[in-house]
Amino acid sequence: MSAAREPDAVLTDLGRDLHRAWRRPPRRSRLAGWRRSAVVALAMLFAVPTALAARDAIWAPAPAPLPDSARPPGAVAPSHAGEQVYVAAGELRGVAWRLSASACDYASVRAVGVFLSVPGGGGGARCDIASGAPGTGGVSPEILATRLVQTYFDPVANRTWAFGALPSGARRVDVAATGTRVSVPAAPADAEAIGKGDLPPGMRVFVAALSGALEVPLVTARDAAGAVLLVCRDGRCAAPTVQGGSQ
Amino acid sequence: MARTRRLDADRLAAAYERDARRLLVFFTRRTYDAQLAVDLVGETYARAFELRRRFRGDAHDSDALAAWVFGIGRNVLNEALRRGQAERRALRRAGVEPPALDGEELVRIEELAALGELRSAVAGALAALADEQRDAVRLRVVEELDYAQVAGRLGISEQAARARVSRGLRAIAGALDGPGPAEATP
Repeated sequence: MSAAREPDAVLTDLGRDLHRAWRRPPRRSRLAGWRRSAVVALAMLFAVPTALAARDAIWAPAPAPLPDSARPPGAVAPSHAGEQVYVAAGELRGVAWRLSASACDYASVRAVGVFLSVPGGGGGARCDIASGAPGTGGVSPEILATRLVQTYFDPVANRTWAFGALPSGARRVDVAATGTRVSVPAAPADAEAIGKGDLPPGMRVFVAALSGALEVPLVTARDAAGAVLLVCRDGRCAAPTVQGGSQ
Repeated sequence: MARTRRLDADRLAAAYERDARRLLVFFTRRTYDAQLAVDLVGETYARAFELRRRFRGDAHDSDALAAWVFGIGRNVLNEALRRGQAERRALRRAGVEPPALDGEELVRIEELAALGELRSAVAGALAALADEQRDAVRLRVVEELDYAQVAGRLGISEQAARARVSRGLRAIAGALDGPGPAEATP
């Protein structure tokens, strides 16, 4: 039996396997150049209309079902889970984005999961991962319902995206990240998508793009009068307290 | 105009040699699971390789490259914490199986990340808190109650609950900052 390795030796083994894989020549198509072009052109004839149709669709790709092994201990299934729908799209600092959302009901508690798609990937949260057992590593539906703001580091554009779903009264969002701060509008989510996805009526959304890989510890949503509606610390949102709400 | 140098397999391998240990400590201290941390290191670099053409900095700038890779690592960690297990898609595509660790190897990585000290430092800092602060931190952090519920349980105002939690967390923050990734760099 081999002796236990030091951490550096474990990393060396992993690094050697990775480097070997990286140096492996990529598989090349056996089609000659002109044939490849012809195949691409033919494929475009079929693919382009499909892509155009998909771009206009309300229905977003549903996340793959979560395997039971990945569910937290004491997981509870929502009594109702809506479809994943595209609620907004746009372009920020030259990068196109698309936001989808879904809603899950756990008895009287409603959780909304938001997911951002950008050319460099995507990130967000699903709404069907609640656990009924506090302290077991999962989150209760009540906690899940407070997670309205998400972040995603986009390695392609080297940007940190902050995004989320907001109540109907929200008009402006202040995003505070390490060393920087931006203010963006809270835009109304697509009305048809809200209906089809059974999302909260009047739901608004925001998307902000920040340069580099940043932590986003604080997001504040304000109403039309500038009053604080919602304070989100580390992605967990709550109405401000009466005493110390404005900041 | 200065030309930036592109990221290739050799340059990423050099970055791995330089930064993987730091990333392993980073993951171990956040997951308390050495095997998961090794898997996450592998997945992070496998993804970085897949995305290498999109790295916009200078591949010779080790700080910029480390920040980019750590950004990917944070995504990988967040996914793992959400799913409760490591995501290995990029590793699978690369045909790489992360090393399986035996008990002694797990312990050595935990030692490297100073998990024992971290646990005892946090436990010590918690024990040193005043009872009222410790109760408030436990309700807010361990039981994940919101401030109104914490206040209700403790029979105090919400503002007082916030203050107790805030003071308690500040007191134990030093323990979490202990021997960090920087010290793990050879």
